[in-house]
Amino acid sequence: MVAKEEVTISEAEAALYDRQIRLWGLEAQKRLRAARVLLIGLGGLGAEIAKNLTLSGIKSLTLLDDRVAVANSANFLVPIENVGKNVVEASLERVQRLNPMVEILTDTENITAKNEDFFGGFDVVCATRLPVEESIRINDICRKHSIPFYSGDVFGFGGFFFVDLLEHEYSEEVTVPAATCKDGCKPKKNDPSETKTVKHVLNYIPLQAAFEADPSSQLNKRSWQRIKSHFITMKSLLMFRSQMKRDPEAANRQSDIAKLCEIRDHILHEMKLDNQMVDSGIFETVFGELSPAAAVVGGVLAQEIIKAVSHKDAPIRNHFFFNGATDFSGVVEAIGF
Amino acid sequence: MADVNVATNLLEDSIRKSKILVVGAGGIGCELLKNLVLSGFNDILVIDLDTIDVSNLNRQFLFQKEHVGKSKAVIARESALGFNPNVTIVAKHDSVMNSEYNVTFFKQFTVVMNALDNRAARSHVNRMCLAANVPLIESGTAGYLGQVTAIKKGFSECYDCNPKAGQKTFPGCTIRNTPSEPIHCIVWAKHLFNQLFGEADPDEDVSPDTADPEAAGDAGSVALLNQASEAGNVTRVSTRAWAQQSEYDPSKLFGKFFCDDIKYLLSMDKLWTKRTPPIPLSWDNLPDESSDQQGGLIKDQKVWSPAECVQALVSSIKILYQRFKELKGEESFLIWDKDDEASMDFVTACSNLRSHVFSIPKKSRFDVKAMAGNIIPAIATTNAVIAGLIVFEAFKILEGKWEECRHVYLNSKPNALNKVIAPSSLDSANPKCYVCSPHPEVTVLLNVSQMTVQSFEDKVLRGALHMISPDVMVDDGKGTVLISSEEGETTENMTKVLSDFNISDGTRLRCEDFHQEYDLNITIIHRENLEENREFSVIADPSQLQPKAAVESSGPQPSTSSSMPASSTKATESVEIDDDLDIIFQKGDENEENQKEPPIRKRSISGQADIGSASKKLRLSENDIIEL
Ligand SMILES: [Zn+2]
Repeated sequence: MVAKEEVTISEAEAALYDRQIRLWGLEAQKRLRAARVLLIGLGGLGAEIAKNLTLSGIKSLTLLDDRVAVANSANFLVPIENVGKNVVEASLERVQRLNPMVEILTDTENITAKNEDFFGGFDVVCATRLPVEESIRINDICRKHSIPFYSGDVFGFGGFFFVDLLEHEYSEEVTVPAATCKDGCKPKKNDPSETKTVKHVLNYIPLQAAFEADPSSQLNKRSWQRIKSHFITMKSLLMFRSQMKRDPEAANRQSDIAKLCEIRDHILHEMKLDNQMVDSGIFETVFGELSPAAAVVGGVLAQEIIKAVSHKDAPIRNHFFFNGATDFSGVVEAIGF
Repeated sequence: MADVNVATNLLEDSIRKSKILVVGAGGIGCELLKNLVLSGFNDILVIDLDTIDVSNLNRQFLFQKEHVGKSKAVIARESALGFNPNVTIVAKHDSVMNSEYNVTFFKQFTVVMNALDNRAARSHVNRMCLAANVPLIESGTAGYLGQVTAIKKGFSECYDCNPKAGQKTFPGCTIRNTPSEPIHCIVWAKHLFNQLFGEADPDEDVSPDTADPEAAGDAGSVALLNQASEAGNVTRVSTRAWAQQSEYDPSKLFGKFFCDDIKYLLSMDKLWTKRTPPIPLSWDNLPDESSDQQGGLIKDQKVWSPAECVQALVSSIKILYQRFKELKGEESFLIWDKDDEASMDFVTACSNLRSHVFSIPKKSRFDVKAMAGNIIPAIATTNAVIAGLIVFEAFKILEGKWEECRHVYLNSKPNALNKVIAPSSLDSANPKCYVCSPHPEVTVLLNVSQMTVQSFEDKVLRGALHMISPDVMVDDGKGTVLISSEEGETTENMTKVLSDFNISDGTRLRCEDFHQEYDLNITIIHRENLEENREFSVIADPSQLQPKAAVESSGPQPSTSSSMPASSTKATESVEIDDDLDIIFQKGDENEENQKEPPIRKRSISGQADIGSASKKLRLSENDIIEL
């Protein structure tokens, strides 16, 4: 977790972070200033998260990805002349330019080569573009070291992320009516209400438990109705990635959609659910990584990391889904509890 | 590095063929340009009047430190071309309200996207898009909250369909005589700045107000008034002339504003029967209590002692007076700016000295800046989400799927439907809208024998109704021209009052804004006095007008939910706005899911509960402006 050492905010930082200090306060900014974040996977979603966290003024951001930068990607951090280089190295200069006060580190190794000790040096781990099995492995390591863990992806028009904050304490400012005087007189009509800080604790579950959960029986009917399509789609896409060792590609549009339907039917069968429940049309819009979808999911995810690091305000528990092709909403659900 | 092959062929094609106008290259604008270029849009015009400030850099990610002071539009274009050098982006460092951006200009675009920070420009672009019949996507963010909506003439409500929330106003006598909150002192300090260095406005007097109804019949004060007038202390016109006589000697200014004027206020003893009386300060004996509990704060968050205030006052007056003396040509006064060190020091010092005098809690420079500059904090993540949502609305518009367009809210926590991003159906246009209805009408309440033509144009037509170049004809059968947009044609009318043109209760005025292609009929209702010393009140829906008698007997004004906010008062102040502000509409949580799900405590647990006021459909615009 974030080191307890006293962090000071310089006058230059105060000027740069003026607006956000006004929003989340100096204490939250100091906590951000101490946070070391590992970001695995630098596609379109990773680029959005990297941008948002670097701008926010964390201590350090380690970018890890062993892939090469490709053309026509939603990763806006790669200058066109860097296509073909390692994506992390290709993006370094632009990330650093976003905020010279944040230490940007690069790692071009494959994540599977990283052992337990590697993760101990971070305060937050965020994974994108990973097979779910690998995410589960890292999440388990993070749990041992009490490190908050996020994993998320964008497929085409939509995306999702998972959060595990273990046991998370946070404070929240609530407005209460101005206190009445001791003798019981009423507060004046225009008395501003007071804010007071309340502390809460939330408990989370590991990714494996969440991924294997059956929300159709766990959630109430209305909640399940709201997320069933999101959940089945997420699970189909992650299982496609694990089985095919790649993501759906527009070049194989028809066969990939057929494969996704097959996986979906298998999932529904396992859950003993109606085969017609999730329309195959949803798979028409899962190809590539659409920039605005990465912006939406990456914006919400980065804000969640900021929230968790600063221990301020209620974090999402434990899934977020967004679909920009069908219902345009961003839904939160606690799955596996 | 555009990623277009993920969309459908039809959509890709319409993206490629479209031409987009992005109005504003601030927090939302930067994110939006990135999303557009990466989504395959290749013909974009971006316009912004603003230059880059260091406090923009934590979110306006197309700008870096070396760009401070440069044009936002120009640098945003350069940076966005880095994402794909093969697209066309035209940058205009200009105001979108300039006359060259006429209806023909707007007609060339497939979709217009507002990424603006102020109500006047939003309202103007709304009219231009209605006149040009071009779809508009409106957006705004404030802190963790944001929203996006799509506007199409005749299909959905326009930006002006709902009256905006009324603005905070403070009566002149509270500011001048009986402040009780820090904001009263901050407003007074900004008025003092203008009296000494800025554009002189008689509505911004800082001296004791002897006409305070609370002090009426106070013989002692009348006696003192005469005495004071002899000493030249409370004469309205000459605050600046008086300051110039002493070459802005800080001790003399201090003596007047924090000692002599306070003694004078104390003589109006009726004011202090139920209030804590003020305590005049002495230049030679200033308290310098240092509070030890300010460790760990940044410099601006520390609260100054009166002695520290005076130090800041002396040095800021010196700098401001020097600048004032060096003014040349058309510039005859200084403009207060929250980002100018000396201007901020002056207002922090003066407001805190006044707070000290009135036993009001003092505020740090950091907090004074927020209140005086009306800063709505903006952050990168909210802007990123909103800019993403704008593009999704654009996709639907390009595909002609207007029925799928939504008014989308970003909440700071999940709403009752567990939604952080909550779409709701677009509302249809208000048939009585004073902008988009077929025959726009408003009613204006004012005193025809007091309101000058100049005030009518500046405060009502331009200020409240957001016109740019109005022509006004009196509907008297003779075609009397009251105001002409042609230079010089009606100059001689400007100092006259409306009754000089036989404008009386019930008179109709035909207004036309050639530039906005906007016609508006105004019905004048004469009122001797308006509530809270307002100079006028604009009412969008005349059926909301109460019987005249009720209003004049100081009854309540028509509620703001149905009337336009009275946007100008005797002591008017529009505080300059920080960028990215805004926000817009607030409504209940009706959304498309209500068709599938049982209605869930509609409104009682609103997703927007934390936007603030729980009232109906308010547009909580950037104009949370403190209007006085
Ligand atoms: Zn309208």
